[in-house]
Amino acid sequence: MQRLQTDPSTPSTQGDRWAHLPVDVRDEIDIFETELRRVQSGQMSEKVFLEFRLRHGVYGQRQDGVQMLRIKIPLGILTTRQMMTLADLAEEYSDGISHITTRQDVQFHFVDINDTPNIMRRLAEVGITTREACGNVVRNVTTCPQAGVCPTQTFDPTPHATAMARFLLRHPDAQNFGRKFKVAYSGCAEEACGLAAMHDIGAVAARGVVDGKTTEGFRVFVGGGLGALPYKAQLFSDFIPAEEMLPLAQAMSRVFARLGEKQNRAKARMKFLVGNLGIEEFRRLVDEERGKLPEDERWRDLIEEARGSQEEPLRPAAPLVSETAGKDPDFARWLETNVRPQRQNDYSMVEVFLPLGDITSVQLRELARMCKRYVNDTIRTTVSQNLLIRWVSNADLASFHADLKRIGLASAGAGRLADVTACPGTDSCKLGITSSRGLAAVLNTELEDPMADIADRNDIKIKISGCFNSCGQHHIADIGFLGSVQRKGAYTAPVFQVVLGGTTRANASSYGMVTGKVPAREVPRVAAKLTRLYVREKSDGEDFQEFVARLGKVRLKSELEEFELKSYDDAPELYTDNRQNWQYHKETGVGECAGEVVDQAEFMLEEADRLVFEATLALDDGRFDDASKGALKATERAADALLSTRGLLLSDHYDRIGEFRMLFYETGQFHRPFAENFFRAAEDGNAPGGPDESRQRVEEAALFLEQAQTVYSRA
Amino acid sequence: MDLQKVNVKLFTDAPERIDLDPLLGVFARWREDAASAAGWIDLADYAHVTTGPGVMLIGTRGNLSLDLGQPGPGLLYANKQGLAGSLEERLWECLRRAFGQFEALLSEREYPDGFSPRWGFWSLTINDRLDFPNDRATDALIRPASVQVWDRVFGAGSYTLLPERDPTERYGLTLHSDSPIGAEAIRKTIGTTSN
Repeated sequence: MQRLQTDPSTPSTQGDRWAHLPVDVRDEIDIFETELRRVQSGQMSEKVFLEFRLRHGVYGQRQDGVQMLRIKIPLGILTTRQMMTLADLAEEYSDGISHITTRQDVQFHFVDINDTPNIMRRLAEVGITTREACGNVVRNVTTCPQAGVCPTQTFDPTPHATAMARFLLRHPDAQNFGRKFKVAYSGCAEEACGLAAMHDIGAVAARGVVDGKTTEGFRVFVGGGLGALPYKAQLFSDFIPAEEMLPLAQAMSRVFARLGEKQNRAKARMKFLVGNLGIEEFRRLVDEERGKLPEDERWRDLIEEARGSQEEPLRPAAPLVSETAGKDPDFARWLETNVRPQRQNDYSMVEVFLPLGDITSVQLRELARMCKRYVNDTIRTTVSQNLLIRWVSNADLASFHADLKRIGLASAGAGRLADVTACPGTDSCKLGITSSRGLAAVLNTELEDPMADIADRNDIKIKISGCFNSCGQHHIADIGFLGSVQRKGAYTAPVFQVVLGGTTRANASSYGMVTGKVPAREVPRVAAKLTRLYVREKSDGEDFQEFVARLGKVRLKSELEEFELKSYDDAPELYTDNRQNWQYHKETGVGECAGEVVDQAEFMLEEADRLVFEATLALDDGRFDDASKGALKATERAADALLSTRGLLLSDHYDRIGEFRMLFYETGQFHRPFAENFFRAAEDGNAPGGPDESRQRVEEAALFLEQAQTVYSRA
Repeated sequence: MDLQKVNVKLFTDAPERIDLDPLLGVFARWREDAASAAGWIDLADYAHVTTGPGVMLIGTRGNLSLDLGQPGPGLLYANKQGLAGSLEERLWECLRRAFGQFEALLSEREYPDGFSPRWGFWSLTINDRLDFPNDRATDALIRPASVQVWDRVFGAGSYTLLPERDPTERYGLTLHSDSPIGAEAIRKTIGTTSN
């Protein structure tokens, strides 16, 4: 494929350097680079490119001219080779930090968009894609990181979640949504790790009886989501057999694509569709759609394929020598907070606590080397922004801890109060109102001192979002903080709303309520006061959620009164944000997390435009065969674009010529001579032609595309 | 091959108590300087990361930080673009930019305590494994150009260069000057540059 070179200093595929990549992956990234150059040279609509780049994981930061790259890590599973590559790329193209997100992805910040094609190619070398990491598509499929080794699991959902991630990636039925679509799997109903209740589709492992046989399946929830208006997922079915999950998700995707809101982005998530239709009607529509789906062998094959790659331990199971723990207090504390037994005897899972989800390239590379020595090949990212190393033989725990210590990753406190979750906030997000990372960093420091007395509590979770979009998941925290502003006189202060009584337990079964508003700089004191209040006044066995319900909003609000925002004259420091000792100004931009609602037809027409352009280049190069083929492909794409506006889905494998003839030619909606050119070219197929025939076919394709764009704009 | 990504690190002493917070204010001020050739974008606060990049000022032309990463703390300038000419000219320009930034930062009143520069201890890393992997071919290209640059600063034969041996790491050379040298002497050779 020939690429535009508008700037010789920008990267290109440089000959056949990337010939070893799978052809479809290579082509996909080449197309991304071509579209990037096209938009840079004004040949492509910025609106379409915005959604196009989001669908490749490239997200505009708050700061002009730099991008955040979100890298999709399905189920949070990373191999050691992938860790090494991420470490290299973060160093060379970002700021040396890999950031683990609350949806098990990895993010790089401050990336030059011109570097993104080569980053994607280097990721592809180790089997990673950024495809559909952002934008109005199916995002990363998340799964509890303990799956397969968890003592409380019903069964291991890993093969099913893996199959789901592979099935929905690039699936034609999942390309025409009005908003993003999130899927999560959980191995059991009790633990917090899957957070199934806050997803568009949440699947919780369950066993059921089918034809008299006990079989694996899932309890399925739909229409959950946080954001400004949090919705708890509703039960779709008590039991869906495991092999039915992929067709069910496909049917739901088709219903969502067909009926979901496309204009008002604030109402476009599936939770609103389920809410408006009612769960009964939604279920009926999904069942009806399921009945229409043509059989797809991938529904079963992908699960079987995923079952073939089960994890095995590297080192033999052996017990921990008990006196080892007694000698080293750091080790003893780490053992207590960061290590949990696996269901397999004498193996443990070790949680590597990453403050704010950040890990340096040196640490990531060294951790990969450690994993090669101690466990087989994989680790998992967690929704609490940490890393989980599984299959550590108990006999190795002491040396594992010592090696972690050597690279600065042996902090105790995973899952404790100090293990705070935070979104990027004003550090990099356009929508950020307050510095959630700044606050998390301050909490991190203060929990060492002066809040050390409460740092090790494992019954309270703190989560911070820098704005109402809830990326820090504050709704499901025991103590959640939501960034906002408050004006007093001529000054504006960063503040946080205090959200109490949510929970991550039982798959995020309950959301908290706003109880008050406090200055950002006071939040550490607020967190300390509420935690100590709980410690002091809780009844036996009462969890924080129950405690909040018992005390009531009035009492809790009164506890927060001492933190009310004072005037600038009395407390100027309250008008600065955490770790930002300059005066606060609210600056927000247009966020990209909702993407642009770009109709699938518009994408296809842009693609047809690119294909015509490439056919023209082929013609200029004397590659007449390529020119003819490209022109026909462009025409077919433009025809598909128009057909998609009539409800035809690519996965239906419809008769393109027949449908186009019936819907556009015979009705006179499309200029007939141009349509006849298309019919003739399709009949000739890819028959090789000389220069004149090729030129004619490219010109006909350009005319067809122009007419298709006119018809689309009239629609 | 278009060499642009070059990291220059000037090692510093490691204080017992690390407090990078003063840099937040300094970099917040610097980023407002729209006229800076560095094209400052924003600061990135990684002070919470053990042995991490510390507090970093991100620019379109390069990043500047007080880096706590391996093999030890130091002032780090990571050039990203804007180099032209021969390899030697590019490395020289990169060193000139780095030195200018380091001097400006060191002259700040709030510069954190304890991170005194060790003017005879530097590293130069090619931050581009794609075009310059850590192998013999890269060594054959980069080392002679580096030697020419360092010779101009320290004088031929007055320093030792240690290459990064791990082929998975980036190509890099660490310099240790055999004789004591100060900022003044380096400034005389390199000149000054604004940030």
